[in-house]
Amino acid sequence: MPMMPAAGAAKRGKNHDRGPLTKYLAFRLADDIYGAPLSLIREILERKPLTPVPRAHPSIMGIISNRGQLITVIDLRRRLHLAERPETNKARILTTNPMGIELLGLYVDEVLQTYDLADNEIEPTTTAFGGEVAGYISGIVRPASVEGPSANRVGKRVAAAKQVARVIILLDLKIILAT
Amino acid sequence: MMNDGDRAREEFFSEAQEIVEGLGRDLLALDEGQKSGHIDPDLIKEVFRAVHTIKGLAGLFGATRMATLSHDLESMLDDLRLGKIDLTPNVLDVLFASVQLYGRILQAEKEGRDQPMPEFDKLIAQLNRDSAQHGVTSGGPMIDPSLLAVLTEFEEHRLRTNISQGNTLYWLRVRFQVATIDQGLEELKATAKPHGEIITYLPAGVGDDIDFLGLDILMASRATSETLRAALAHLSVEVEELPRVSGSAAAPVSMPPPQAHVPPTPAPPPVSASASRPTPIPPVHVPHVDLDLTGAHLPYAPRIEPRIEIMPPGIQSAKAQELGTIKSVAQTVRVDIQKLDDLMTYVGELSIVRTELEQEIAKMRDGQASREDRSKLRRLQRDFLRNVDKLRDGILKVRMVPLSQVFDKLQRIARQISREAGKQVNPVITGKETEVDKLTIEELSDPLMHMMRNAIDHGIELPKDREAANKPVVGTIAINAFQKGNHVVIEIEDDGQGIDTDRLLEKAIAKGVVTQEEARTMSRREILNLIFVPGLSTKATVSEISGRGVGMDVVKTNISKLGGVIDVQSEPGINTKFTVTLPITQAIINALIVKVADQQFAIPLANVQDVGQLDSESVRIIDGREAVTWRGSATLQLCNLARLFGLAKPQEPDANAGAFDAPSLSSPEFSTPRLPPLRSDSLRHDATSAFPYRPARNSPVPIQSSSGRRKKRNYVVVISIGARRLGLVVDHLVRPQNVVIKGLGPSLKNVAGFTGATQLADQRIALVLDAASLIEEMFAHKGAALAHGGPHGF
Repeated sequence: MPMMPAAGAAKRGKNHDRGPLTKYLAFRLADDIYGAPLSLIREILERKPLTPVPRAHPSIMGIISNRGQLITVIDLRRRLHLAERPETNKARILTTNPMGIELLGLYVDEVLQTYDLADNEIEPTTTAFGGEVAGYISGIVRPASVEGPSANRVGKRVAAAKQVARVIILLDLKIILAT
Repeated sequence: MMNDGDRAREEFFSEAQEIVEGLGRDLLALDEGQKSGHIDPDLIKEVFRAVHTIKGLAGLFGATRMATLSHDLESMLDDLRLGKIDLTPNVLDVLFASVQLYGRILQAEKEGRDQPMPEFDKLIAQLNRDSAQHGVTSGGPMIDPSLLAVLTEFEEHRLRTNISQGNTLYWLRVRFQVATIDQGLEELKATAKPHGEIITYLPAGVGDDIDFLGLDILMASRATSETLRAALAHLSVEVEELPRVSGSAAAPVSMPPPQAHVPPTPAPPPVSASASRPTPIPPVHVPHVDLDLTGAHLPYAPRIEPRIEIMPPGIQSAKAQELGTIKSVAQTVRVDIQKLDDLMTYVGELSIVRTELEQEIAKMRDGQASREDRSKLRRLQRDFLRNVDKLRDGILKVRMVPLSQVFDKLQRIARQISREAGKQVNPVITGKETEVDKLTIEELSDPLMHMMRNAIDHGIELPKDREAANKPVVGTIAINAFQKGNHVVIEIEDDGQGIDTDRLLEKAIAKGVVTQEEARTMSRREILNLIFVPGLSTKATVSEISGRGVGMDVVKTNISKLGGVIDVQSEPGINTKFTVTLPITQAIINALIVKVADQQFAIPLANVQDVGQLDSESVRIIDGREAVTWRGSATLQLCNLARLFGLAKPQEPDANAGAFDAPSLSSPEFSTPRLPPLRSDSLRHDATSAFPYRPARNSPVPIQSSSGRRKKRNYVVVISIGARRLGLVVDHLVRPQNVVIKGLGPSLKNVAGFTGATQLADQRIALVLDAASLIEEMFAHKGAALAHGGPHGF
């Protein structure tokens, strides 16, 4: 599956003073929108037959084979203690190896788009929640303030996502996958 | 995926590992030399060079500890090279300790750990202290200063050493054609080397012209001048012996005037040519080599004994840790280019088949396929399969590495352990060129090391005991490896005291492993096999029983995991011999594919002893464990995989499962098995054709019970590790097939019961069951089979 088109910074006109931008990939887990640095995502895979591994940790959905390589797939919803949804054909598996130890698959309900974000647009969790927030959240972003992509450019799907994407919760994959 | 940094690091590890291994081998040779009194100076130079190379590598990769160690070792080796210190057993110990330390440092670097290493600091402090104590040797034979002026420090040392060993000195005079001087010199060196040591080459400085160069070669040898002359005659070397002189009032020994021996020079060189030549070194006269060879005063007084207290306590304990593993840190395999060429050939042939296939398929698509095309297609299919098979075999060959990779380390460890234990051991190794899968070697190194350690610790007697028993004082440990069909056999045999079966049996009875009654009927072989029973081979009991068997149960388990078997033979007072038989490769194994609750699993055939049907009515619960009587004789504990793995059954078991509550002891425990007994060894080579029973793929097997009533049945796959057996209850037997095992990632490391996973033909993944760990688990936990609910499900 091709990568989502990046929200092109140059076309928007307002961004010249935002500073260095980092690409984040936004995806849906249950009813919320989450994001992770795009640089950490190796591949976005369509759903594949999953082989469950008995007696593994409950958040491990099973293993898949991707071009002959076995990849353990982790259900991010379960790892973050979110509600589960019935599987749809929008579900994807993101492969990532943030620790450099093992290529893992992250199961997400839907991949949305990428965002170019400057550091100063990301609200640190300490100011938003007073520091009492799970360590795996690296920041909060309100896409509206970042100027989300216009519906006519990226299409209906994003427009639909935009309704719920009031807030994007940026995840620290290293912390999530280390535990 | 590997980035450039990772790749460079991986290369660093393999190169460093390789050098350290070579260093270990050289040290063993030096150790030999030290014992026999013939130390090859070239070997010391080799060790020096290896350490120097490691230093460079370490510097490049910022491996500070390794660089520091190498630097200090280098200074010590330099002193050794120059004869400032002697190669004593203590110095050798430091060198061996350093090789071990290198191993540990590499391990730590690999894992990115940066924990303190007290043994490192100690060894470094030791090296520094020692080097401060080394003085430059004084005394020894007087050597004429004018000769000293042209000799390097190393050459001077070698000269002194040879004089002190009573060797005769010779001047060899030879002329070489300038154009071929390298070749000529090499040939001369090779011819002279067996007879002694060449100390230096000096240009004769006379008789040279543009085409010829005269050399005076100072050589030390035990041979007589006649022997040497004869040996070197074909190279037109003139040999002149330096007279041995006794007493301090020695006559000066000088080089004879060179001219007398130089063949006539063809023509005087043109002036211009001689001007462009480097100025020849003037002939060196050696007027006062005072050779006091009477033995009255040995010219080389014993030098400063390097005070290296080898193995201070810190190192001692660290060494125990280091000895914990001799696995290699390198993940790479060095491959013979021929193997790669073969692979390239198969791939090339496959590409041709592919092109032809595309053409044929295009014809089919266009509806032009003729009968010939169809037969061509069949031929292409055959070619395709043949090449895929060759490709697979070729890749297996690439994975193969010689056993020397682990045997060399074993030899080093043997030296060390025997020194610690105060025993004399001579390891004799054969078949180290036998090749085994890289993965097998890594997994095998620790079990082999344990066996080697046991052989020395508990097998070989102390020298005084051996003497008393009329045995050679030096014990022998023979390690033999050879290939036998698709298997590799490794034997470890010591000529020590053997296993005391009486005491072993006593212990087994005391521990409740066997009853008095059973003990009476046990064969010697059965008793010996008790060595592999966990309760009997724990560390605590080792010293009490025959002494054998530090973790022999663990050794056995590890070997079983590799699909191998281990056997023991022993004669009291004569020997103990362990025989390990392993499949050559781990990457592809024969496995029985079974179905449990619609999920497929693979069971390595090496662990499958038997298969059969299960009559649920015959299952009894004994002390919380489910068991049946297997084939009318032995009790077989069952493990219901669906329940153990918490898998939902595709359909509910029928009401007959309730018959469990009233097991009829008289009823036949097993219905007549439709599957003849499976023998794993007969299946190992060609499982697919040998397998007696082939249901349609993945289809459930309807079974009629003898009463004609339709009833759900399960199958039992009996797996075994040594004497322990377990019946795995599965829903269906699918088929045996070759599978390529892939390891599970670190995220699944803690999930017990699986050794890996494999992709089946239908793209599905089957987990490969770990027979050893399942048996261990089921035997360890009382009633574990019932842990996940009542006795339903059969």
